[in-house]
Amino acid sequence: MKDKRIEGILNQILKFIASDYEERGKVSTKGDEIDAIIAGLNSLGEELHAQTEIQRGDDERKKALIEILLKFTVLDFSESAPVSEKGDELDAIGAGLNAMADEINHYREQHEKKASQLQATNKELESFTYSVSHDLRAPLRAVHGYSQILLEDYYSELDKEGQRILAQIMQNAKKMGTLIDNLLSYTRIGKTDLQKTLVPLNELVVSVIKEFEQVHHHDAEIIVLPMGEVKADYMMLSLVFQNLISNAIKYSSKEEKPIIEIGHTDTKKGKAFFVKDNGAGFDMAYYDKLFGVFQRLHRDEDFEGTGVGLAIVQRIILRHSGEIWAKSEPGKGTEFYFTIG
Amino acid sequence: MSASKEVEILLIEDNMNDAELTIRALKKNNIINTLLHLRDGVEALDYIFCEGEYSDREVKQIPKVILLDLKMPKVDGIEVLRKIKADSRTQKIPIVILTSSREDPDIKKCYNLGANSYIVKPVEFKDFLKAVSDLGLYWLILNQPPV
Repeated sequence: MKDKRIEGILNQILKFIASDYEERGKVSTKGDEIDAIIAGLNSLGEELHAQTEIQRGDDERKKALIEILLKFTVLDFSESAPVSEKGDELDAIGAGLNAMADEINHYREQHEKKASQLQATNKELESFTYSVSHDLRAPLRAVHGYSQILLEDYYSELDKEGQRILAQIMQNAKKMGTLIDNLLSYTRIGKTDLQKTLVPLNELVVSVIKEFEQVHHHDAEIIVLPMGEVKADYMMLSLVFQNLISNAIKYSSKEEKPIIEIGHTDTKKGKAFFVKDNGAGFDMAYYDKLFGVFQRLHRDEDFEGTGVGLAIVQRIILRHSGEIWAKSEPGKGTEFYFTIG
Repeated sequence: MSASKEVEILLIEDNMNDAELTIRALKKNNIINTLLHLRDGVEALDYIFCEGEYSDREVKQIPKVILLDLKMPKVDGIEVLRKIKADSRTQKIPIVILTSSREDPDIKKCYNLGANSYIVKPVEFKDFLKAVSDLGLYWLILNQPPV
């Protein structure tokens, strides 16, 4: 009679071949060779089963690690990789990834903290500047106003020196008013939102020049070359050209034949717009002061100014993610270039 | 100046220098006879709504125009403006804001609250003239200079 156990053994082997290691044969009480085979097959099944489990577990862990890595590629460092107690290579990789993410998250947090601190400080500084400029106006109004009364009602009672002194007081009060105005518009640039449109530059430059000529006389020949269009805030960009053109006119006003050229050129930094003059120029040794607030490179008696214009220009260009730079030589003229990001 | 007289221009200004210079600018142009100067927002609201010191007034005796400074202690100009424009008895009074600069961000806020015009301090007569003529008050406020 055929031993039923053989059938069981064959069945178990077939299942093992099909990678199913769950089947176990029953060991009889006979304790013969067949039972020994069954027992052997059973422990083989245990072993194979255990190994498959490990393999499956490792596959899962690899999958989890790959998912974490995929998140890293989109700069998402929010999740940490699983690390088991085995301490194998996969755990080493997981621990490495976690350490990396922790470090990145730490720097990110620090950066965000600093950025928001900086933003808060800037805001504070701006509102401080604003309220200071605002409050400075009141006493200034009084100085100018009461001087005006002297001028209107008591002028004839002052002697020549008294009249000169009064004129100096009023001139300085007026100058301080301009300074405060400039400071206010400087702070306002940081506060206002950009309203970008496609700006036709030649149209803008021509209207800036026209506006300037309504108020000031000048003898400069102004050449405006075709410049095309650029995406920018119209009002702010006019302020840029207003300052650069009025500077060019001012600093070339003492030349025999003042010439100003406005156009664009290709530079390493991309398409740059320029305003060039053949005026007084400046010493490049002081270049780092050129765009500073209240910084001037000329004496007031030579060329009047408040030292805020170029600071405003630079601020506007920076707000447009552009760059501004200048080349100059005393007596030869100045060239300003800027890009719009 | 007595408050019982009919007031044509109500000047609300806490800075005495600014007030003096404003009054002088108007006086120089012959329009001082009907001006009342109040020194802060509390006094202004008392006057306009006939409370406290001004309880014997009647709200319907309204000034032809109010010149209102914004920066005042206690009750500021914005608050005064808001209260005047929120009350049906007073909301039609034209209000001209006195501001320190053309770039004052409060100007926009004032227009939203119903302010009619603004003048930059110190009050230039031509600015005042423009504000007054914008409001159509030209002949009511300006005395004709003697011919």
